[in-house]
Amino acid sequence: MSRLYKVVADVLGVDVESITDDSSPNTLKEWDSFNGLLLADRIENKFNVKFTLQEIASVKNVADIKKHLKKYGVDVDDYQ
Amino acid sequence: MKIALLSSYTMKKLAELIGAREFDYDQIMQEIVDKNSKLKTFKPDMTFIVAKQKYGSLVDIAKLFLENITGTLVVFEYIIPSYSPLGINDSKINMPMKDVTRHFNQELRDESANNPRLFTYDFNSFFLRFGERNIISPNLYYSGDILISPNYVQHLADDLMGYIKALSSKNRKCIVLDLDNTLWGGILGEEGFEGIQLGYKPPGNAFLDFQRHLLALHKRGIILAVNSKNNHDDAMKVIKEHPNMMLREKHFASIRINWQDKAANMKEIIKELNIGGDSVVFIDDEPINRELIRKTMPNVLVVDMPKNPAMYVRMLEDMNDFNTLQLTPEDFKKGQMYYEQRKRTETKAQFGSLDDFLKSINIEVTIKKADDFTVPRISQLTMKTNQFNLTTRRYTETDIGELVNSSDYNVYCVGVKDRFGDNGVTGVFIVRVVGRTMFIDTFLLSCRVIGRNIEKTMLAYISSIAKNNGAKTIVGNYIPTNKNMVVGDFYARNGFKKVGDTAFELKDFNKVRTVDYIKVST
Repeated sequence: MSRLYKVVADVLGVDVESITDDSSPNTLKEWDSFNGLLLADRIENKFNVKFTLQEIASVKNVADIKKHLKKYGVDVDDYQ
Repeated sequence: MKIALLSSYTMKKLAELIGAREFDYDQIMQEIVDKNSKLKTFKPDMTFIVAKQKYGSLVDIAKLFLENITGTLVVFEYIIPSYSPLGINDSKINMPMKDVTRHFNQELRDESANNPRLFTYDFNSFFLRFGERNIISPNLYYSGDILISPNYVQHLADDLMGYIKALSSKNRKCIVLDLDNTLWGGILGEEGFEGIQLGYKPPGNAFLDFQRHLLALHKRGIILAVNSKNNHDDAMKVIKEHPNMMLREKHFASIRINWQDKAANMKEIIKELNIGGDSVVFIDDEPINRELIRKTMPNVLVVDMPKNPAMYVRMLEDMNDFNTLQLTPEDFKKGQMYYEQRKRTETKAQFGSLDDFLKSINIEVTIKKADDFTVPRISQLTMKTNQFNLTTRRYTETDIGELVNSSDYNVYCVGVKDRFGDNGVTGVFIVRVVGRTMFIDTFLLSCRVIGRNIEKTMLAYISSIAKNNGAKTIVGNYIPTNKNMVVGDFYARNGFKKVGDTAFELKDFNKVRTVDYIKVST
């Protein structure tokens, strides 16, 4: 499982099993705009990256977060 | 307790942490001014306002609030930005941005100094402590108008809890201290008078600074006490004679230095000072002692002391438990007054009977009608007095002001002095005449002056004013609480007859005797 899922589940306060690449504000009611920002902040700290404002605004689902992280050389699927 | 948060930033997490209701984002003026606003219907006991500088004068917001909304108000001072576009010339021109901000803050602080309902939150100290670039994350700030990034919200909440604890009287008033490795470095019994670390060299300087901070708390009314396992005389020699001790015998309201267990000592200290365990903080470097107190006296606040003495001062600075909503002249004298009380008790032990002792200490009681100077203290006494309090009616300063101005109530305060010192205003009674009956609405005495027959003197005074007002009957109530058992039989002991569930009445005023060795002035 992607280590990103645990971070997402933690911030949103939901079960990690319920997270997939397709998870988004549309599938999780806990993912409101406020929590979305807290999520971005937590991911920045956790993986030691800094997103741009545009990247934060463009995130539609978990797959988008992975894509942005990959640009900074962070592969969240690289280990079990 | 209803807490409101009005903010022009997003402060969702903060509201959760302090148990506040968060009102709509950036609607501060609407909530204050609108006659049917949610804030107005909420009737908050305490409101925090965090405004952005576009709101201009903070004192104007505060005044509008105080006119329109109930309860205590805490306004965040504006942040003074660390950056100035004027660069090195910032000080060269008149009224740059930073000065405008400072001016708004100063106006607010000036108003707060004169208004008991208004407090300010020194937001800049928070920024100084944690750093602007840590607290503000530009991404969060621009994306969601979130000023405080998540890692710092808890720290801000801790600061605000200082106000809330004061409002709900959850504040602590006494610090009980260990000695070895707490007030000085090392173990006195092993290292001796010359060997302990306390002075200007490390690590002694950290202990010295810790004592300096404790002394500052003592000076504003926090009581200090010692609970230590040591040879009494050896430890007292350090307290009295060590050249670098900042805290001396006169700063401690109670001293227990012996070899009995710390829980037994703690119980004695609490009894001697006549306070509840819920007023006490325990500071001890030994985890096992802390555990003992935690287990046996769960209402005592046991501080998790850092291992490193360099962190002691910070531990003290991080505590938000010593706040009160008012600081009165009595608070500043309190430490001194407890010391005098200890001396009194020591003298008492030398006399055969209590009366002999009381006769010898020249008690003087002053009874006066409330005025502008005494209203804050009177309110404070009604709020804090639990034991010798017949009705436990709590009155804010505004309430007392209203009683003073009403035609049928009379509010009196009682000052007590003796040859050991001045206790200041320590008693209150409020009476109300209806027809030919005088009702005692409030009758209380601070625990510091219990046991000196001050209450008899107060009762004698009440009967004399009842006589002068043409009253034929005095009616008093005893409303039982968990804490005021000590006065359960007060009226019965003083000639009153029980006439109802809580009511007692007196018709024969001669049954109330004055106390001949107490000098009364009015």
